[in-house]
Amino acid sequence: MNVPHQLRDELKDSSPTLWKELSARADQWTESARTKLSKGLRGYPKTFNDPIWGDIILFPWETLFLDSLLLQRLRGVRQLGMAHLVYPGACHDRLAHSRGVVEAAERMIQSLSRNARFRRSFGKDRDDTIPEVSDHDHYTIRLAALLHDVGHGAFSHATEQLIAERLKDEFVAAGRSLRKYYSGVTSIAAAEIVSAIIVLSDPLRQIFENPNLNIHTNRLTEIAFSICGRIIGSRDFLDTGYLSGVVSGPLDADKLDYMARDSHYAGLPIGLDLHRLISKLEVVTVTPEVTANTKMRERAEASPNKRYHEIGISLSGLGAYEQMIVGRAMLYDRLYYHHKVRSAEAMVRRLIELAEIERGTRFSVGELFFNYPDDTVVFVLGGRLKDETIVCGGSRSNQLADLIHAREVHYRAFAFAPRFIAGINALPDTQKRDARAALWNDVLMKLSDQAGCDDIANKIFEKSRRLLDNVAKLKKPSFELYPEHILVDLPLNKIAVRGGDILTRTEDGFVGTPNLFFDPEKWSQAYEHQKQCGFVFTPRECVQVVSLASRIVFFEEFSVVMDAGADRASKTEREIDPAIFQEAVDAGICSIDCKLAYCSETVRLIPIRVEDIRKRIPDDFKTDSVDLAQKLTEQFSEANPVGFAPQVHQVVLETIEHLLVFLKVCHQSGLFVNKDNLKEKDLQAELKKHLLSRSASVAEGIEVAGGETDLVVGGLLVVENKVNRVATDRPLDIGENYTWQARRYSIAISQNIAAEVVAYKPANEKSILSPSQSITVREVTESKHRFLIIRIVLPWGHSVPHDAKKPK
Amino acid sequence: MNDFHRLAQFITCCWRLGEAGSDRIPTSHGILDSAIQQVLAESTVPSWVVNGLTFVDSRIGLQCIELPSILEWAQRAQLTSAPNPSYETTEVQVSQRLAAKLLASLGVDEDTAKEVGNRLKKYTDESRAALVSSNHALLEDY
Repeated sequence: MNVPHQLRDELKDSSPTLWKELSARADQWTESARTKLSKGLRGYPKTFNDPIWGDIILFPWETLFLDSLLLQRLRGVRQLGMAHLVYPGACHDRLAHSRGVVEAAERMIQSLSRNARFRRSFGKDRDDTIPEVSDHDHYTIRLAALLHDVGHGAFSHATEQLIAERLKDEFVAAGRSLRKYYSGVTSIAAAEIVSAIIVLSDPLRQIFENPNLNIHTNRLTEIAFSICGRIIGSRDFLDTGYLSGVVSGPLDADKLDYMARDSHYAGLPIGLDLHRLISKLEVVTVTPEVTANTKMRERAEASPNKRYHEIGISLSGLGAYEQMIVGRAMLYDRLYYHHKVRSAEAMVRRLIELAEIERGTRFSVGELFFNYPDDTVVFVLGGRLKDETIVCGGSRSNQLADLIHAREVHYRAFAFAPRFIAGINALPDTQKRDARAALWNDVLMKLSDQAGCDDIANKIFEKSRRLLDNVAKLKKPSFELYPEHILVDLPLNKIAVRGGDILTRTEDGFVGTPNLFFDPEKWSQAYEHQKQCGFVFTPRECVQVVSLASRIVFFEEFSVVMDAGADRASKTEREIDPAIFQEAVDAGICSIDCKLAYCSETVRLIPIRVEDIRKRIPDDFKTDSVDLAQKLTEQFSEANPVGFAPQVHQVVLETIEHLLVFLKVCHQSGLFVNKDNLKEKDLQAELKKHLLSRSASVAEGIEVAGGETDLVVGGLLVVENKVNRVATDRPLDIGENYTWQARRYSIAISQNIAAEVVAYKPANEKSILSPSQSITVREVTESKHRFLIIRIVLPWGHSVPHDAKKPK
Repeated sequence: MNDFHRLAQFITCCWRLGEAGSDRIPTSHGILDSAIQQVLAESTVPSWVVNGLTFVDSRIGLQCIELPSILEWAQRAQLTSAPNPSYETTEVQVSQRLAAKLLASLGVDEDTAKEVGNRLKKYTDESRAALVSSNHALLEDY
């Protein structure tokens, strides 16, 4: 087998930070092992008692690694991060898990080896070419099982996510390099890439290639590559093809151990039939004749004897396999995604970031792989314990670390999920699905990474501070509010798993993926999507203010209001009195729209419906070929699918009616025809007169935002008037700055919608739009926050055709 | 923007704008994986789509590595339904109008999207037909 030494060089070049810092750490962690080997000392076989598997026996070369910092540092890196704060028994660590994976791998190898023996001698499709398990494969698979988690830093997945986001390009490049040299690799988690780099690093290479290691293989230079291949799930560097998925695959030793162990220690029983799953593993023989899959046929054609062997599961083991996947979904729901666990993990992530802010520099990758247990890391980051190599410990880090240590975990202040979006249930099905997708996509896009969550958290923090300073009725916390007191968390599956990602065979030898009548993998995804929601977490004393601030920020940023279901999910029902909202409005911190939406009794936002508009359109307009009501409804739906607070909804509809009638009157009376000049104040005066004649509530010249509004209808809707003096045939598109002025005034009175009446000079007779073409609703897409403008356009200064009759 | 988010929007919205065929995207047996690979080979698609997808000759045949995450994301983003009742397909939930709008925000014009959608539908139909015609393609436990 050709050993691709150039892979190491490629990793050095493509992922220099990862390679350099992890190699340095690996050097430190394996120093004792290298020293022992250089002195000719070997490890000893050891037997451990384990609650999941019973006796676990390690070979001497395995205990050499076990007794080094490479693995001992995993003692105290808790398998479940901060879950022990909710499930007190869940204190097991990655060291115990690593030993467990060795035993699970051993049992899988024995099961497959037994099945290979049977299949060489029995059955309709017996196959005497199935190879026996080689020592090299056996021992490197066990080593891969033992070392598969050395890429985990403190708090398990919390630091993994941090490192993966910060060095995203290097991880992508490393993944690309690994795929180049290893075939059959599907998804690789960040921690697996870190483990692979550590295994390939020079310090580990020196150990693997040292004859004193006395491992029972004569291919010493291949060991690191074989282990790396097993960790990332490749089929290369393997004599026995059917062992490729033992450490990393759809049904692997890692999964079998962590599910059994997590469930055991957390005290959460799940259906996991370990013995059945292992005993039903099968060696699958793939030939061109037995599979319908093109790629598998091609691979078989190209293999020696036109056949190859893969890991699979017996059809009679599929029930246990499905049960395992359902069990995992339950573990995710009840354990990994428990809201308190998520809150505590978010606090730990924030503690690391806060410690970096207070010490003035980011932790390097190497620094994030601490040499001590998670609990100690919390104290070091908080400055209670000193580490001479890592400077930390500002006062705020100290306080946050103390909260974590004392299990003062942040509470839920706000919940958000697509099922909670208010106001869309009244819409027809198609429109409802569009509205939900359009609104939720904005939220999801923003909160799909840590930077987005932090940005929204900061906005909630700023809003909370203003609320505390300006709203007397709010409960004030006994401490000063800081950004670390507000955490936004939306759980996302980092790697989705494919259902039925394993081969099976029939009695007569046909091979393929199982037809799962009820694909539990997809079921668990659907279950998770339906059930999970995002949360804003904060200390208990701040729940009220942060709950209010979150509602306002989500309204401003995403135009969404969450319904009473969200309040129940966050346990914040009746937390915010309408009087508090009113104070926030009075202080200019919250829009009236937002307040009305949250303080109404039932439906909190009302979309504009076609029947709402139809009954307000003058009869003359209805004879036009365009269905104006339909057109405007679609434009509203596109620009603001979720609608408006009840009072704003009413004012918008009334204003549309007033403006349409104004449009009709102007067209019929020829009000601005043949004028040499039209002043804005004249247009405004006509419009005001019209509105007052219809008993509308109109205010004029309100001073806001460094200027005066033209008109404000119903105290809520700004109506700006503009006269365009350049001839045009596209009046709906002219004067972009008009819209911005309307927007500026509207924002000043806390609204996200305005109207503008634009008088235009038609370029020619054909440029004059019919009344039904003279109104449009659109979203100002350049705006940071969703903003809508209703525009009506009126021609002025044009001459009446010589054969036109004077209106009666 | 999250890569899965863009790719989920691209695939589901192109599917919606494709003129003929079902509203339901196949999600099992590698049918969509091979269709996407064929589309990338034949159609002009944005480079971020090509660069964002990796195809591997895996244990169970051809796999687009990112596809499970993309389909999961599409469901999470309310672009597709939960894959009921057979768990073999998922329904695209967005209208043509919203699909066109989302694609425009990704810089994809409607004609390209229609072409990609049509080809995706064509190749998935072909893959499904090949699978069903094989009498040992669907292995079941009774």
